[in-house]
Amino acid sequence: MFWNYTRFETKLLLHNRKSWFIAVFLLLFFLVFFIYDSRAQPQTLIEQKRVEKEEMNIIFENVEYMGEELPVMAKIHENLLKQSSLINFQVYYLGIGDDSEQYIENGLELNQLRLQVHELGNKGIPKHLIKSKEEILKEDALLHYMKEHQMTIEESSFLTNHFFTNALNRMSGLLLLIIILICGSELLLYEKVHETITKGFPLSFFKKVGGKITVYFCYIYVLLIMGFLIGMGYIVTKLQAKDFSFPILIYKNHEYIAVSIWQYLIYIFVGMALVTVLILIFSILLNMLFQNAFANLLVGIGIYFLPDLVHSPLLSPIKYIDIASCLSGDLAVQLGSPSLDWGNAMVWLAGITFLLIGCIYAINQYMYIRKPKDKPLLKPF
Amino acid sequence: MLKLKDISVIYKDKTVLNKLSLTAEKGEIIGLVAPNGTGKTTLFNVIANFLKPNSGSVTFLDQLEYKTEKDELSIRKILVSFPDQGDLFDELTGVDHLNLYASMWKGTTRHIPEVIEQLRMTGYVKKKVRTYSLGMRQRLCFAMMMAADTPIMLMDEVMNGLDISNVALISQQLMKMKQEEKLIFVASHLLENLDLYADRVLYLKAGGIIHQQSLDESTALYIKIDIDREQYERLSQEYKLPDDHLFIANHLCCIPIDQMDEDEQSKWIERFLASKVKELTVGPLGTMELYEKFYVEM
Repeated sequence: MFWNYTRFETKLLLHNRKSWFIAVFLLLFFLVFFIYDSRAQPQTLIEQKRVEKEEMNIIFENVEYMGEELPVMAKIHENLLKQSSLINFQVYYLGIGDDSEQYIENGLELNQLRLQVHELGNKGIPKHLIKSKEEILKEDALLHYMKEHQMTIEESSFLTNHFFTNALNRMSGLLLLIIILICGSELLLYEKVHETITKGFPLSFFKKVGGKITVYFCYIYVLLIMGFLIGMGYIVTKLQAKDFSFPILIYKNHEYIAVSIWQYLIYIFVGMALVTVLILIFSILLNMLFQNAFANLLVGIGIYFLPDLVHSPLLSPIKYIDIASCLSGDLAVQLGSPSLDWGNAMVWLAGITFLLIGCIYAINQYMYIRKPKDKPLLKPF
Repeated sequence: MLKLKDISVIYKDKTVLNKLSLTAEKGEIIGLVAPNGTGKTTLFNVIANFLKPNSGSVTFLDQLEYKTEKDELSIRKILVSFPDQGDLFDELTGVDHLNLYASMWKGTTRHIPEVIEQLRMTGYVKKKVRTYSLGMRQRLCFAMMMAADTPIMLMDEVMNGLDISNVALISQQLMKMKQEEKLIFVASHLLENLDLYADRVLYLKAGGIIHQQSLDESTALYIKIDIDREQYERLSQEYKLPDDHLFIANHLCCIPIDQMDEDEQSKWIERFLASKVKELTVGPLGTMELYEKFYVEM
């Protein structure tokens, strides 16, 4: 019965125009985003280093203006000289020197020097040019990873990572929430329009819900991955990228670690899978409570923004559906919760999913226990 | 097979069903007759558990009640309700609908070609439902019931929108289903049609069953004459009509003849013929006549 019902749900999904609009959106989102993003010409690694070189000149002017007589200032000046030299060498190794190994070694040394300047209080350095400890540690993690894996610097690989993370950050969170809420807005409600057909099926409520979630999850998730692959195909062709070895930083166990792009994508898509299931189940609950498609969307979005209005640690897990931000550590910084990483978010999301299932179960059971008082009770689904 | 006990459905200002009780056995077709808004659909909704009544119980097979989801599922496996043609999925074909019902209840679609053939739907069943006429939709709804093939069937307004030949076709199928020992409830406004296949007809009024007409047992005979009120009053003055005679819906005068001898019966027939009545028949009261008796105001 379950599979027969699931097959029927699939048929309905395929005949629904709304599903086709969402399918087209999901298939084209990454492609359009990559086309748009690649027009902006992101900074290459060598360009970034040249900017750092320019910034170093400004810092020198400032430090020299402050005076180098003080012992601290003299130490900072000496440190900055070394940093400047290392940055110049990095530019050389990325360019005509073409030596990834030396670039990495210089980078690691440069980060140590930057941390020392932090310890000296960053005196004389303009505030806007101070590289935060967090950024230094991120870069350090990247370089360590590359050193350990004896990797070479591939500019195209660096850029693909930039595009991938940008696009996935954009999709994760609010946008994915809206897409799933739209998909799930009529999960149970459309049955009201066809109730004399669907109401009497010899199928338990949970099997029915299970069938619906299975179909809609596969639909959203397959399209999401297909859309990403289409976009990926475009960007790889455009950048003529041959390998994807350049690592990406993720936040894990209170620190930043570098992982390969493939690991990063697995983390993201596994996370999005759980988020998709969670929001679909949430949609079922909203369908049961409000019996209105518009309310499904409005209440769903409203709840997502609730933690921004009411600052409470109890509400923070709502934001965990932005799995890309959990993975990058941005959400940990934003919420001031250093323990929040991908694993932590996944445990919370799984917990919320079970909680929602519990609520749906309880409401369904209540329908059987409830005694009519002043009017008979209409079975809603 | 099915027992309803003291079912009450009461809204704030309206009592739809009032302590209604009923027992039905397999192999029965039970007609349900009442004007619109008198509780036929509500009764079906209660039997199918789409509506939980204020009080009373619905018991299937002497043991199953809608108390838990598990029990409800056991009941659902033996019960199917007639779909409303407005609820059909316009974007799907007739075959899709039939396959759905067949696979949900029987777990197989092997019998579907036979159903399609029996209901003469071959010409259109593969087209999308949005192209169907009212009659085609209604036939599809009936075919869905046949596809589900459950022991208990609730058919609300089953003959709606059907032409004469299709009414005959569906009636024939209902009679076949009766032979298969199914318990079928039919709510219909085609009253004379009910006489063809129903074993008994229930008349609902004021939330209860006011009359139960058994069609397979011999019933009282009447001389039935079609006259207007003026003629009726003239006849009443000229002859002393029996105390238990009926004057239904301002046009039908029924004289019971079971207690009369042949001479008396002939005398009444002669009197009526002399009065130039429009139509004179002899027989038991049919569903139509009883309907008029109970529901058409004088």
